[in-house]
Amino acid sequence: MSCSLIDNVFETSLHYSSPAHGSWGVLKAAQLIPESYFLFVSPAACGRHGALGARMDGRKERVSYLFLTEQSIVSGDYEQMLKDALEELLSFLKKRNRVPRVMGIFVSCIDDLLGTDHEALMAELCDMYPGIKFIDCHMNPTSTDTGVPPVVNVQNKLYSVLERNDDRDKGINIIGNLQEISKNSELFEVLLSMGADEIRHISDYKSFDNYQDMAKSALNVVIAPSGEYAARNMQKKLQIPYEKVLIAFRPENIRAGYEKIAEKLGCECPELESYESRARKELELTRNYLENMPIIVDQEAITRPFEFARCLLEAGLNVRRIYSQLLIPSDKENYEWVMENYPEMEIRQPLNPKVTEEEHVSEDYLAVGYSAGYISGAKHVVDIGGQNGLFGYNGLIELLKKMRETKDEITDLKKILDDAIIIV
Amino acid sequence: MEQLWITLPAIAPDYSGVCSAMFDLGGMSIIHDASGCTGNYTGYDEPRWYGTKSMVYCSGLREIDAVLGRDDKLIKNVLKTSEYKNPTCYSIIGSPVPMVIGSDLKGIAHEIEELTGLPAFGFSTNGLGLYNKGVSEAMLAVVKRFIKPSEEKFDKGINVLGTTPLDFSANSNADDLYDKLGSLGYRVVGKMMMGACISQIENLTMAQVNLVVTESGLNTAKYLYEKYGIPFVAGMFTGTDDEELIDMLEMTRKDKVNRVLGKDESGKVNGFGDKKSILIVGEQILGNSIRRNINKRTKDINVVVGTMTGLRKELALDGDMDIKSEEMLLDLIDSGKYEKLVGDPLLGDLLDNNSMKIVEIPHVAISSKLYWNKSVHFIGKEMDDILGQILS
Repeated sequence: MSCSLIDNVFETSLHYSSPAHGSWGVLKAAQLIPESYFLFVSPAACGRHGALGARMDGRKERVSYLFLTEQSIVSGDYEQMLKDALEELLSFLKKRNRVPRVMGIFVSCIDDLLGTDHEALMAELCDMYPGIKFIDCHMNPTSTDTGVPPVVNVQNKLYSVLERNDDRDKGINIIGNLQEISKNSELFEVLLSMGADEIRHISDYKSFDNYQDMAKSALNVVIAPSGEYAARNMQKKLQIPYEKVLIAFRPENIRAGYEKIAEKLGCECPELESYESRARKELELTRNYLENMPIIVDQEAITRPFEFARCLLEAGLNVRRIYSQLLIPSDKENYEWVMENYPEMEIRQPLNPKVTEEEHVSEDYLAVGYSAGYISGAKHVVDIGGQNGLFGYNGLIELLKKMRETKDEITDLKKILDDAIIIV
Repeated sequence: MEQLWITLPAIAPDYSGVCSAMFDLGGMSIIHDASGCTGNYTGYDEPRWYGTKSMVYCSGLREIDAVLGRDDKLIKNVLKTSEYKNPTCYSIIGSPVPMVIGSDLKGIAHEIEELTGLPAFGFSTNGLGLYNKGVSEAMLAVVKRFIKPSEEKFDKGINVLGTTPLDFSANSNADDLYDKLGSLGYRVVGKMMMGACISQIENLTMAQVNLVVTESGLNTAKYLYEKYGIPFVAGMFTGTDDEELIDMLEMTRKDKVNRVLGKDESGKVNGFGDKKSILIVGEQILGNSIRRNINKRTKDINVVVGTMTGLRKELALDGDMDIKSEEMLLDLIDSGKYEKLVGDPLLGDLLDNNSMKIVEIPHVAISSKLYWNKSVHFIGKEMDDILGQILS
C-alpha cells in the first residue's frame, strides 16, 4: 500500500508511535541550563517518560514531580500546593547542598486550558526565594501546530535566563542545536578566522555564572529552525543580532551559510575551497562505496531531509525514500526539486498508521535514522538521532563516513533502541 | 507532602493499563492525547511494543480542537484508518486534556460503534489513576461485553485473571504460568489479558475456577463469581514450591469457596518484636505470594507487604501497608523497623545512606525499560534464588 503524498498534501491522521519515534524531550533540553533544577506540576502520568529518561541518563537528581490531584485541576488553583512543595523540595536540596540557581516549573498540556498567570507566579516565587531564578516551562504537545511549539518554547527558555551585558566581546553563539557541534567541525576555524574570539554553545557551561558569557556575544548563529524564536527574543532583550544559517549538507548551501555570516560580521569570507573539495571527494567516495545501495532518509534524524536527499542525489547516490511527517518551510525548495527531478521518490509520513501496512524493504537498504530503519525494516541503519552535532562540511563528511561504515554491518536496531533515551 | 515525588518516577498510569489490557485482542486503541501520553505507553510501559502489529494510536489532539470540542476529527481519523485496518473492536482512551475539557469518551465510542458496527469502548482514564485500575477497568469491560454464558464446563477449566506485562514483564512469566497450569492438568480457558482473544472471553464461563494473579484481576474475578458462580483463588506460583496453591485451586474448584493465598493463615502481620522484618513493596498478590513462600520456609521473619497502587483490604493482612506516596515509603525506610526492602531497583534510590538492603525484583510499572530486560522469572529456580537472598 502506498502512503505517498496525495496531491502534494501531507495527510492528517491518527498517529502511529513507532519504538523509534522521539527525541530528547523538553526536560533534557531545559536541563542544559547550568545549575538548574526542574519541578513538574502536572498529572502524574505526564512526567513518567521524562523521569525515566532522566534516570537512564544520570539527570534524575535535577528533576522532581508534584502530582496534581483531580481537585486541584478542577479548581485550577494549584499555587498554594506548588509553594508548599517548593518549600519542602528546596529544604531537601539545601540539606544536600544542591540548591539550584534556576528553578524551572514545568507544566503540561492541561495548564494551557487552566489559564495560569505564570508571569505573576514566577515573579512571586523569585521574591520568595532570592538567589533563585524561577522560570515557567511548558511540555504541551497540544501546542505543536502553533507558532510556539514545545521544542521552540524550551529553546527560548534556555536563553531567557541570560541577563543583558553591554560589555560585549567578539564571541559568537551557536543557537538551535541542543547537542554541541562536533569539535572537528571547520565551523570553529572558519568563525575564528572571521574575527570571532570565542564560539559559544550552552553545553560548554557547567556554572550558571559562566553561562552568562553568552550574553556578551556579538552574534547568534541560528542553525536549527527551532532556535529562531529564541534568537529573536535575545535580539530584543540582549541586543544580540542573529543570522539564520540552518544545518545544510549540499556543499553550495554550506558555503552560502558561511558567506551570510561573513556578510553579517562585515568581513571577508575565508577560503572554503579546501573544505568543499574534501566534502565533494567524500561524496564521490561514498557513492562508489555504497555501490548504488538504496538509501532512506529520516526527518527525525535530519531536520531538512529533502535538502540532504538532494545533496546525495546530486552526487549520484541512490535515495529511494524519505520519511517526513511535515514539510518545513525551509525545506520546501528542496522538496520541490526532489519531486521534480525524482518523481518516483517515495515519501512517507512516519506517524501515519499506513506505514505499518507497508511491507519491509526487501533489498539491502541503508536507512539514515532510527524511524526510517524501524519502519522500513532496512538491514543497515545509521545510528543517528535528531541531535547529532553535525554541521558544515565536516558534518557532511562525518555522516558519509557513518553511512559507509553502516553498509558493512547488519544493525541491531532493537539493542540501539533499548539503550536509547527517546522521549515523545 | 504526599503529592511531591522528589526521587522516584511516576508509576505507570491508567491509560497504559487500558492499552496493555487491550493489546492482544486485535482491537484498535486510540489514546486521545497530543503525543506524550501515547509515547509514555509505547516507549516506557509496553515491553511488547517493538515489532508488534498491535493497533495503538494517538489521536493527535491539538489545543484548538480541545477548545472547540472537535471530537469529529478523532472520529473521522478513526474511520479513515479503518479503511485499511480490520480491528475486532475499538477503544477510545482518555488522558488529562479530555478530562479537563469534559470529553465524553463513552459517547465517542458509541458513535464509532454506530458508524462501524463494531464494538467500541470508551475509557475515562486521565493520567491521574494508576495502571492497575486501567487494566482492571478494561478487563471488566471486555468481559461484560463479550462473555457468552454457557452451562457447559471444561473439567479443570481455569481462567487466569490479571496477567499484564506491567507486573509480569514480557519475559516468559505469563506463558510459564499457563504452561504450568497445563502440566497440572488444567485447561486454560481465558488468558486475561496476556494472550487473550475475544473467543476466549466468550468462553470464560466454561472454567470451573479463576486464578487471580494480580490485583487488577480481582474485580473481574468478583464479577464472574457473583454473576456466574465461578470461584477464585488469588495467588501466584513463586519459585519451585507450588503445592499449597495447587491444593487451594483444587479445593476451590470443588467447594467453590474463594481463597487468597496466605490470607487465612494468620490474618495479620506478626508484631515486630525482635524478629527480623522485611518490607515487600510491589504488586499486592505477587507480594502476598512471595511472603507466603517465605513464611513456609521460616517463622522467624516478619514480612509486611506494601503496595503503591492502592491496597485491597480483601487481599491484605492486618499490618500490610497502603503506601500512597514516596514520602510514606521513605518514612517506612527510615523507621528502622526493616532490614530488607524487596522491590523494584529504583526504590533503592530512596535508601540514600540507610543501612537497609534491597533485594531487587524489577517491576515494569515502576522502572520500565531500565530493567525490563532483567525481569525475574516468577516460576522456577530464579525466584528460589531471590527468596534465598531475602532469607540470607
